[in-house]
Amino acid sequence: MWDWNDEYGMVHDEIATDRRNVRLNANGPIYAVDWTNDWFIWANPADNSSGRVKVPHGTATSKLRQTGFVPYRYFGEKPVWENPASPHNPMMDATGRVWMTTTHRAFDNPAWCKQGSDNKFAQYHPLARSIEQAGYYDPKTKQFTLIDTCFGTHHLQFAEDADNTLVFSNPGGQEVGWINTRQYDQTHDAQLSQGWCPTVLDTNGDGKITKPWNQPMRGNAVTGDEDSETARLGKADPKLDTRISVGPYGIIVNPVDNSIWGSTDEVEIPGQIFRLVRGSNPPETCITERYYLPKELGYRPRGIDVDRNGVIWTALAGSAQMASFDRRKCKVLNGPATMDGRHCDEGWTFYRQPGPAYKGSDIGSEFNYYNWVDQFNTLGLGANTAIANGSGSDSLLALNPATKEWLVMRVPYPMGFHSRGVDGRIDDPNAGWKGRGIYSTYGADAMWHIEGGPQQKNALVKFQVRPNPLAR
Amino acid sequence: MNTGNTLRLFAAGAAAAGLIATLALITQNELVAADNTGVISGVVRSAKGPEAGVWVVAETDDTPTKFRKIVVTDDQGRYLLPDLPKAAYRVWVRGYGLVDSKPVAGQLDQTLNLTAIVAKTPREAAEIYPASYWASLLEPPKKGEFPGTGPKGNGINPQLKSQDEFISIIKSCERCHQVGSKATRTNPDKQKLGSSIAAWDHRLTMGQRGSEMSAFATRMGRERALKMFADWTDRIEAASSRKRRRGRAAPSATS
Repeated sequence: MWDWNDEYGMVHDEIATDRRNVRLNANGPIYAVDWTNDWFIWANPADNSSGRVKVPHGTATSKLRQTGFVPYRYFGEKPVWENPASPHNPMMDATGRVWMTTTHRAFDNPAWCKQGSDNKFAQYHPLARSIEQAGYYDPKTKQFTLIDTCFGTHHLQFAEDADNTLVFSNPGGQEVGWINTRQYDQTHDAQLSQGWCPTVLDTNGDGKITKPWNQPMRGNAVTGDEDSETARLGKADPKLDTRISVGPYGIIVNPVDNSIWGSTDEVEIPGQIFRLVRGSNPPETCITERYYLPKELGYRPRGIDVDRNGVIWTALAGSAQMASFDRRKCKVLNGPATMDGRHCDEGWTFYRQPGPAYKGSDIGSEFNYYNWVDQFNTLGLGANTAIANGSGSDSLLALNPATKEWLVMRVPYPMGFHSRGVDGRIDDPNAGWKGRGIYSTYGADAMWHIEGGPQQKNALVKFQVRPNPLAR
Repeated sequence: MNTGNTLRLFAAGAAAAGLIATLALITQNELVAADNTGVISGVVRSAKGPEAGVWVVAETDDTPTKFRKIVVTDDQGRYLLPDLPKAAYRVWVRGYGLVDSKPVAGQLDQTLNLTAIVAKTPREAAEIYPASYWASLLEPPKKGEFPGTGPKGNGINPQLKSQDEFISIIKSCERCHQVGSKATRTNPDKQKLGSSIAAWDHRLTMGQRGSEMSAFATRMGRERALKMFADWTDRIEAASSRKRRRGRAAPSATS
């Protein structure tokens, strides 16, 4: 475990490698971003050092208020956070560059994103605002490159395709966007290299998406409850397709078929996941499927990942479970029956997590900020091990893929290991447990809640599994 | 059997089953050359004998950035901290059913036997329980109280139609921080502001993201949310003020 950054920052995630090739950056530094104070940070296990540099923010201004707030207990009226860039997540590409979601301008989009533009994506689905954009840091040149996007960004993941497509989530947004990074590297043309789609269900069942379509009736994600949008959507024209608002928090690309999957984290329950296929000529060929959770069995997907078989895994932030969704079990994929999102309950499987429940309830008090699938056995528990952030219990929770038993990996000191992500790397495939490891961070907004109080710094944690407790 | 003993048995049982002890949680420097690293090993014992399934912590400020490594003892109380960078370490023991041992100086390639201290009360042992165990003492409104009837009724937001919806908002607090950490399960402004409820009403507005915290309380139904949190910290405080109690003083790891 290495201290890094400072006593205030919220280090959302780290990245150690290209998650598609977990041998990349072997023995190299681990990188991260501090959302609250715009730091790009790293720790180097080679010499037990750490460092940081500010992420440029262009014309953006802080998303967190600087004055007029009720004083802190520890810091009074001093604003300890200022985050115009608010870098949220890092992701490493095949060359070792660290891409990130970050902000570098005001929310209002340039004209080419909007109604009246000749951009084909804007003509199909114009976008007026983007809350966060994109960029990358190249450790070789120590330079940042900022890339404007019409769509908003939050989490990001690379597809396993020839274009090294980078897809983005966008909570509350009405679209899913991507950057063709191969094309960007060739042209450095942000407009030419990006695209986005609205999320539209094939509810008329003709195998394609056609305008006009039924429109969402609310700005936020639909809930599926009988007295909300789903019921009202039941009055929609069955001859039409239906646009929905997914506003994804989590995002992942399925390595089996390159489909994009996302999760909608709404406080409202039960929540949903969705699948988007871009097709051969996006945006016209984009088709979306939506799957609600059976709310009587579990609720509130937040993180999302996929195993090498294409099974989706999502840790449920509300009901303290891991859930998997296997689309291969679905009997219906499109048509009017998919309107309510409950057409494939048979695809879901739920795994209750260890730990206590709230008094007077059967709901666990654990909180899963996100989850990750160890596709390439970087930890040593086996390929495709699903791991949840036990963000409420100082732990990572690994679900044994063979026995479906939980392994609790607790970080006992300093208490307050509130993690938001995981990734893993193989430094040496021939070195047994010593060559493998996974990483996570202390990621609470309120770092001063950590054992040790306001003097405690952020820290990077590496987990390894030895064959026995005396292994050298 | 007190809660501390329950936890210690749980840890030992898990170790025997290969769940915790073989899942030795360590952090290590991968690259330092072999001649610049070493190990510290030994046995952890308490007044009750070898301590299985407890953590041994080594930490140092000698490295360019602060470095820690943590491992778990085996079923005979033995431990081994591998691949430690060359430095002087503070080494100590933490475990369920224990209170933290006093750090002792450790050097590479040293055999360092450690003395663990058994907690005298369940409450003392519970200080190192994870936040979620303390959070489990929260008592959300019962299922039969939904839908809410508002400020003039049961204080629950009438838009909330189930206990699950209420709990989902509690969980939203944890998007930013744990609920149940010492910072949250104590209520330091209670005396100054005159009541637990007033102190919670104030603390949920503090700082640069206070308006977000406050909004979640309002979404639950502010009256009921404040009452729930105040009841929670009052019960924890009351348990703390008792010198000793039998039975369940804190959430159990075996729940």
